[in-house]
Amino acid sequence: MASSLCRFVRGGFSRNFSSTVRPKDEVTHNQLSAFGEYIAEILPKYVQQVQVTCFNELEVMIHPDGVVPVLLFLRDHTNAQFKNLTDQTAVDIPSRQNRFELVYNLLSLRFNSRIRIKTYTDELTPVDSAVPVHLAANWYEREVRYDDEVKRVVAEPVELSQEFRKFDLNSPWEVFPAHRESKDTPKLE
Amino acid sequence: MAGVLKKTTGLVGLAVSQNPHERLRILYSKILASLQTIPKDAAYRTYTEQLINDRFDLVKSEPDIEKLERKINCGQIEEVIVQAENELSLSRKMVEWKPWEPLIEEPPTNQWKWPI
Repeated sequence: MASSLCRFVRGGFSRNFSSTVRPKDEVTHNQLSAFGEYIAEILPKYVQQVQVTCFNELEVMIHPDGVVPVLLFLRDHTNAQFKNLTDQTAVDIPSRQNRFELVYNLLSLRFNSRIRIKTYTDELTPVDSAVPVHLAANWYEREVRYDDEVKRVVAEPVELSQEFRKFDLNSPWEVFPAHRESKDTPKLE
Repeated sequence: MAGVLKKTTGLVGLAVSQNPHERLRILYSKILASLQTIPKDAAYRTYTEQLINDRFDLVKSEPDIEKLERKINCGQIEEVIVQAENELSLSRKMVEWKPWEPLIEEPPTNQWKWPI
């Protein structure tokens, strides 16, 4: 009994029992929350909530009408030169009324800091594109559709994904008697 | 003024500016002029005016380019010019958008609640 107790204690001393909790960085936390308050003060029309996560990440929640103004402010203002759009995604939370939560991650090279902008929308409301502000958003906003011609899924920028309706041109008014269709034209279903 | 211009900024597409003090003077006065049209109590106007006035005073007081860059402490003088141009276009758009007005619409309840 005593020997097993000794063994346990010896094993305990060789392993390091300090906890694996991330140390709290108060300075960064305070700097980020001060900057978050700065943004909320300048843009009260769009900013609904500002928070700093436990991992020292600043998140600004805005109304969906304010996507372009807020992103443009963060890109152009001298105190906040967030010129890089590193990520643009959406989170689907089906239980909410506005189920999609759009997330934009920005990086400022000048001040070496990151910020996250969050908006919301439901299935039917469109949100303004971030492409006029950051060209990188083009790739993140692409529509995915199945193309019958090449028979695979293709991704296109939003401007190019148009629907080409095939009209029935066999009416007597449109047929040209002299028209010969070459053998190479593909048969489109 | 020593009159010695640096050969290159080291950044692709950004040419060395011949007369940065003049250019900055013009840009800062334009920014301050466009800020006048914003209501006085708007936070954007107060903070930006403070920032631009500080930089403007530094530009007016320091004729040497290198020392000015170090005092402003925001990269090379050409980058400072680019920042001023961006701030000018931003201030013109802010006049249009009026972001100092109160919140357009409150979020629906539990919109930002996490974990759900």
